[in-house]
Amino acid sequence: MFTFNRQLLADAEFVRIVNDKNIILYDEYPILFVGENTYGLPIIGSYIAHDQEADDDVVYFIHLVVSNNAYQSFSDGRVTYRELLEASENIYITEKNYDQKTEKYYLIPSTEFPRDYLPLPESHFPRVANKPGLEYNVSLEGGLADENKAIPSQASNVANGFSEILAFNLLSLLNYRVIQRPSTTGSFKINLELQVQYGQGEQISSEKEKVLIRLQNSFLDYCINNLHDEANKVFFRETILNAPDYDALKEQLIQAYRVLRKRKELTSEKADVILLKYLKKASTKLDKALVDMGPNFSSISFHNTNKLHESSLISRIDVELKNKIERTAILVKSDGQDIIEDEELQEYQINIYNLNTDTRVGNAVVFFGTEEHKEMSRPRIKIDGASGLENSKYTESLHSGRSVTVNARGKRVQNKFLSLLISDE
Amino acid sequence: MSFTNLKLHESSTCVCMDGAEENTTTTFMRRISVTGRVKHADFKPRIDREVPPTAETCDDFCALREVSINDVDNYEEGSIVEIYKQDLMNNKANIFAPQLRLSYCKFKFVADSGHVKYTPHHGHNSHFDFYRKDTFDHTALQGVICEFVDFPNAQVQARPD
Repeated sequence: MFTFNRQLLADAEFVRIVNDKNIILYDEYPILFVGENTYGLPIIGSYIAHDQEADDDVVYFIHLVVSNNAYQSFSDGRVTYRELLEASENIYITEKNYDQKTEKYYLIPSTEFPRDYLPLPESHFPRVANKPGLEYNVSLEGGLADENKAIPSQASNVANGFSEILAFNLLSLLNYRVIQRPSTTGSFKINLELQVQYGQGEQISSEKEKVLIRLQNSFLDYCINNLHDEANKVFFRETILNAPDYDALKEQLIQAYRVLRKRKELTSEKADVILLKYLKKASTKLDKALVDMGPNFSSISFHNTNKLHESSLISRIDVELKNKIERTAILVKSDGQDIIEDEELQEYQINIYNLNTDTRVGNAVVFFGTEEHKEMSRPRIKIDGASGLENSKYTESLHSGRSVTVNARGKRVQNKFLSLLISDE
Repeated sequence: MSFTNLKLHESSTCVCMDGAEENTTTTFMRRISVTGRVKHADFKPRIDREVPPTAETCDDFCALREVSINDVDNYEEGSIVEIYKQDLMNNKANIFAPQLRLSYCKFKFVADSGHVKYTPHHGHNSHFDFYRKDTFDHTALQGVICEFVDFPNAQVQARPD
């Protein structure tokens, strides 16, 4: 039974946790938690024991008040909780009565604290899996990227794409933005950071921060990984049915809205409007961000990281996933109209204005329609085959501005092309 | 409505108690906080406890209103106790709270205690969720037998005083 000398009452203002108690380990009762006292000093707390004799639900906790530096050392994993306790002159004991909703605070010299009840020497700050944070990184992998190199324009295209998607303000919070941290020249890793201020310049609380990050991560996870399997059930439908992953995301959006928008309620219909708008945008931006994937980098990984530098993978995008993303983007571009696909190669006259001879992907201007009424479109083009494209009729068109005749399979909506797959024979 | 204490109305979309029903015949077991006796606090759902986390999904929303119990009629008591120990180790209770006691009681519900739903998961096949009714009375449970487990920790094999 836990007993201690109750003679010394502690200063409640000093020992009470006032701001956002963050429970790190929990098992019916908090095991390890952190918070701040009214003076802004960090408090590390832990479970000691239940009062075995009281009729009420009474629990004893350690409250250890530490300096900011000491807390940083603890959360960085450099110092253990036990070490901090042993280095402290006094240990505070909080007697919490859950039934009466009261707390009493006592002080005992740390030398008098019953040693059996001290946390063990192995009391390192726990590495909690998937603890979300405000930082993300996007890494190019394979090809040049493996040599820690990247082609700057390609890297920045990827960075901008992901950065824009991350910046989608799903909850319409004030002062919400993404900043790109500068990475070393030619680096294959791009670091992004979310910055949020909530309300009138208030810093967002850690609990609300978690809700926000989890929503962002779920949204990113869905539009990168899962949207494609549900795309034709989600877009351009009167009602959305048989899309369980979409439904789960929508529910999460509604709950997050409640938490972060001060009890405003988001209806199911409004949630659909918001989600569909951002999913369409995300699809298009993702597609654009991935266009250079090929010889210089063969995959992209996207991680969420936290202050402890623990990262969790949101997605690894390889060519297979990239193709799915591309198909979804085409569906979005079709705007609900029928996509007409050429079954056989057709002859087209196009003006190529953009071409990457490594990836064989670019853009062209195409005119299509009846003699009287041709419509212009600027589809993406992909050139099949393996022979080099330098000094080809394609680069000729690119440099001279003249049109070139190609054989291709096109995908179009009425007379506007969404893509052209050119056969280089 | 007899489950108002669970505040289910706080979500218009989540359905938690589907498939839950009264059960006064199965012997269940649950960890308790104080050795040897069941207290009212032992059946508190998470919404009644310390700073409940915000629910982002229906699963989270429902989890805050459920109390975990295990079926000890149809599943082996020893393996349920092993699960309790594992949970404590996963939460590093043995490191940060080395004197945290592992005790549990076996019992049967009486009428109007609440409803139970079978929710096996992660290999915990004996797991049920209990939804507490407003009329729940912890002193009215039947056949209560409580046990203490000498939960191993590095420091000491203490017996309760």
